Amino acid sequence: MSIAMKQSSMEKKKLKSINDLLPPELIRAILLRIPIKHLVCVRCVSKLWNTLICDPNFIKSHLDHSLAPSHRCLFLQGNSHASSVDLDALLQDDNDGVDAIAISLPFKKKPPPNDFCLVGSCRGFVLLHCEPQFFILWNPLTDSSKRISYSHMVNAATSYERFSVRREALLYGFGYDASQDDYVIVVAYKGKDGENHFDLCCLRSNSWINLDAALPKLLDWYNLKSKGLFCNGAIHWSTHEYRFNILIFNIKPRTFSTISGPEQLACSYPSIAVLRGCLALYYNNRDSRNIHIWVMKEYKVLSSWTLYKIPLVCYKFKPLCLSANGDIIGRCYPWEGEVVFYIYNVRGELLKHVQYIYGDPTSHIRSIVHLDCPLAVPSNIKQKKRKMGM
Amino acid sequence: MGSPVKKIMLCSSEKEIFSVEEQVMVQHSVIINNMIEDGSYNHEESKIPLDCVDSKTLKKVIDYCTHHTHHHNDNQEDLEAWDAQFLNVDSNGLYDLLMAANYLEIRNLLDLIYGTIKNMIKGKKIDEIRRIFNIKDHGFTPEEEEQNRKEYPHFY
Repeated sequence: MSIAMKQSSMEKKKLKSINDLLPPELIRAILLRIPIKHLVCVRCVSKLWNTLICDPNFIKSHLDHSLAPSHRCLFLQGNSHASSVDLDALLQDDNDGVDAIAISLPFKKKPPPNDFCLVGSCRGFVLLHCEPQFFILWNPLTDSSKRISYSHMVNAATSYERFSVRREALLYGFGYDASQDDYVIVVAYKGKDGENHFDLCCLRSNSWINLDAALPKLLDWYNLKSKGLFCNGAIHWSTHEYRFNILIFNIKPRTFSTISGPEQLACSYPSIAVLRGCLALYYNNRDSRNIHIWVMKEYKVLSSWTLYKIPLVCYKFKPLCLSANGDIIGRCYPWEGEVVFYIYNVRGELLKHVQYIYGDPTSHIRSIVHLDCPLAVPSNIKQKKRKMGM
Repeated sequence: MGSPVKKIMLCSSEKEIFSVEEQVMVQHSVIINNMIEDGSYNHEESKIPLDCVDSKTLKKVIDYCTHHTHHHNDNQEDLEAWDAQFLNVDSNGLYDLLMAANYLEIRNLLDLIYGTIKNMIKGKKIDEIRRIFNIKDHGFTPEEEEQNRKEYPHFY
C-alpha cells in the first residue's frame, strides 16, 4: 500500500463513528458496564445505543454484571414528574448533595389519571395504581409502560362502581415470579356474594386468574395493612391477630403462610420495609424516643431478627436503605417541597443529614418507592411505547 | 541449563509474524490457551493466523501480555500507571485493541479497556459523548431528536 493510500484510508477511518468501527455486541458490552443512573442519558446518544439498552435481555445482563444492585428511590412529584435519588451516593463521605435524576411519568400521551400512587417496585419495574380502576406497569429506564385494568373486580366487589384497589382491597401487592420470568399483581377484595376473593394477574399475558381457594379464611381483615411488599419471591403484609404476624403470599406455589415478628417487638402494628433485600419492621418507640428497626437478616429465620435503634427525629421517619456496614438511610418530610435524608451509623449516631428541595414547592411528594435495581421488561410483555423513537 | 523458552508464532492481518513466549499468551488468552491444550497448535510448523488484528495492534497486545506476565508481582500502583500509559492511544487504537482483546479473549485487558471507555461516557453530556465517539449520525429522526432534547434538556 502506498503511503498516500494508507493515509487516505486512515483519514476515512478517522471520520468513522464508534458505531461503524465496533460490532454491536461490543457496544452492548460497553453499555452493560455503564451504571444504571447514566443509562437514561446514554440512551439518547444514538438510536443504536437506545435499541441495545431497550432490549429486554439487556437489563437482565446488566443485573448480572453489576456486583451490587444499586439502591435508588423514586419520588413522585405532582402529576408529571418523578425523581430518582441515588441512595448509595448519600452514603459516601464526601458527598453532601443529593444525586437526583428527573424522570417523566408515563402519562405523556393521555392526561394523567385523576389520582395515582406508587404500589411498589420490583427488579426495576414500578407499579402505579391509578383512578379510575387500573394499574400501570412502568419501566422508568426505557420509559415503556403498560396498562392493566381490573374492571372485572368492579362488578364483583361489594362496593359500588367506585371500587378502588387502593382504598378498598383487603390486600394488594406486586411481585416477580422467577420461575416464569413474569411479574404479578395480586388483589384480595370482598365480593357482593359475601365471600372474599383473591385474584392474580400475570403481566405477560395481562390476564387475571382467580385463586380464592388459596386465601386464608380466618384473617382479621381490619387489622391488616393492605399494601404488601415484595421480597424473596413473596409478597408480605403486616397483620395483627392476637399478636403481630407477617402474612406471606408465596408467588411460585401460590400459597399463603405466616411468620411471627421478633419476640421483643415493642409495637403491635409495625410497618414493613425491605432493607438490603431483607424484610424489616419499624416503628416509633415513644418510651425511649427511638425508632426501632428490626431486620430479618436471614429470610424466615426467626433468630436472625436484628434490632437497630436510631433517635426519633420525626414521626414520619421511614427507613430506605441499610448499607453493608450497618449505616441506615431514612427520610422525613419536614416541609412541603422538601425531603431530608438522615444517615445513621450502626450505633445510631447521626452521620449527616442532607436536605433535598425539589423543583416545584407546590407539588407535594405523593409517594415514594424503593427501586432495588434497574429495569427489566420481560421479553413477551407487549409495551406501549411513547412516541420518542425509543 | 533450563530448557529454552517455548515460543509460538502469531501472524497479523498483514501476514507479519510475531514470535512470543508461549507462557505469556497461554496465561492471558483463553483462545490460545485452548489451542495449546487441545494440541491444535503444532510447535514445528503452526502459526496462529489473526486475520482481524493488524500488526500495530498485535504488537500492543503482546506488550500488554508480556508486561503483565513478568511484572505481576509489581505493586498495584505501578501496574496501574503502566496500564494508563499503555492505553494512551487514540480512540481508533482503543477500538482495535478492544476487538483484538475480545477475539483473543484476554480478560484483564478487556476489563481495562471497557473500564476506560466507560469512564469516557459516564457523567458526560450527550453532545460531548457524540463528539468523543465521533457519532455524527445518531440515527434518530429530527422529530425524535427534538423530542429527546425537549424532554431531557439537561442531558445535552
